[in-house]
Amino acid sequence: MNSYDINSLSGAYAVDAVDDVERTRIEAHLATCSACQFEVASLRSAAGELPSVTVTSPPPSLRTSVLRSISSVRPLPPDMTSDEAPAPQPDRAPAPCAPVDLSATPTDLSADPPVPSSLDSKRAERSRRTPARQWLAGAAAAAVVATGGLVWHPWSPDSGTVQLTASQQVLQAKDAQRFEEKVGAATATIVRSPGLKKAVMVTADMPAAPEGKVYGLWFQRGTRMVKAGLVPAGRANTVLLEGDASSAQAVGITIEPAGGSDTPTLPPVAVISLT
Amino acid sequence: MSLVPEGKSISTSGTSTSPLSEELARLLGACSLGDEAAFAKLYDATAARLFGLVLRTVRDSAQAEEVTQDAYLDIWRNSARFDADRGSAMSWLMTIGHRKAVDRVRSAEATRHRDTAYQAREQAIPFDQTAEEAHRNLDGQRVRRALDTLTETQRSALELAYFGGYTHREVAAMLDLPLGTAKTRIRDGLIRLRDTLGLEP
Ligand SMILES: [Zn+2]
Repeated sequence: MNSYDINSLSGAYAVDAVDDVERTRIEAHLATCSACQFEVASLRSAAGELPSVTVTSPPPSLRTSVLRSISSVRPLPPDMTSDEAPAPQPDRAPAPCAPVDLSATPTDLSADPPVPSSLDSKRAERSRRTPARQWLAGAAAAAVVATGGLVWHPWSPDSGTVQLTASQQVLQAKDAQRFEEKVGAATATIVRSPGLKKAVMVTADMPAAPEGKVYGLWFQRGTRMVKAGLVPAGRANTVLLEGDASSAQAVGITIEPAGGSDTPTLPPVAVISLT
Repeated sequence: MSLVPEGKSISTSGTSTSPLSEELARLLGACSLGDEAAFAKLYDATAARLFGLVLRTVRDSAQAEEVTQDAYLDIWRNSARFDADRGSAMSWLMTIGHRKAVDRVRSAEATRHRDTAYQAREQAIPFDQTAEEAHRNLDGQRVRRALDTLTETQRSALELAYFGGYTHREVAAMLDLPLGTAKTRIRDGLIRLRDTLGLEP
């Protein structure tokens, strides 16, 4: 998925018509792109008008039970974390929607450009008032930062071995496809062989998972996340993913309790698109 | 005590300059300090909209009540995090309600097979279920007129996504659109709606 795709998904995102993987990717992009932030906000305000065609009074009993339920709950304090997060040039004009850290493939310049917004000047004004860091205070932003120390070093196959491991077979396969994902300065790489139906993830200098936790790997098939194994502890890793990689659209990396889980703990710390 | 009694013509427009949105923003500020009376006013001014949206999506009155209650609890808890610079209060409230409704239908779907053809038939007559109530509402008429400016495909894609709670991929399958085009139709439809209604965030 490249930034053009992300921009074209702004409408679907604004009406929650995306799956968890897409949502994570979009939110990571929004954290750095004030132009897309502004667009999503404007599309959400349009969507927010739609309920006026389905106005239905709830039963009076609901009011009673809602008011009762809030009286035992304390409102959260204002979000403090957003002011400490690194901000991309908050005082300048909106960052262009450029194919930066989310590109798994080159931006398709031949694709039709998205419908232009008529709000450019307002957008610039708005984005000066609302730097990107304030827009996205959610877990996705924090999760992206968590992989900041991850750096890709090219894997070099051990030429001395004759007997290839399953991982090496994938890495050296004639039909090997390579998908690289940068998260900030970090990168992880998936190499997939459609012929072998297998995929390998290569990481280097990967920060250790938090204490008592382990990195989990998942294949995305449609809207489902299918378990694909765990990343062994260690700074440099070549991991053979479990299961059939040929039909997967993406690989997600999550943080799971030691021993792993049957369902992914969202949001993922990284998502590597295989398309 | 209701800020917007049934049938009154006070605009509930989501633009941040509308009197209602300013009042809602003020009420949210009071909620963040624990003012339960302000929350009751907020509920009275918005519950018919939020409940109607949730009911339209989850299609079951008992479940809609649960989801609505859950949404209002979130609104109360997160009231300090509403930021008027990033959009209107009404838009913020509906975003929370919509997300809750979508989460409910998706998690329900996960446990049973989704009959796409049946759902598509169901969805083919949009809005009529609550048309009578909506006609009492001037905003409803204004939004309907704006929706009429969308192309057939834009409108269907937007309705299935927003009220049906379907993902853009599911929408593409249901409308038999080429892969990747439903998301564009949804976006184009929202842009048309936004510009016709003269909205900004
Ligand atoms: Zn962007």
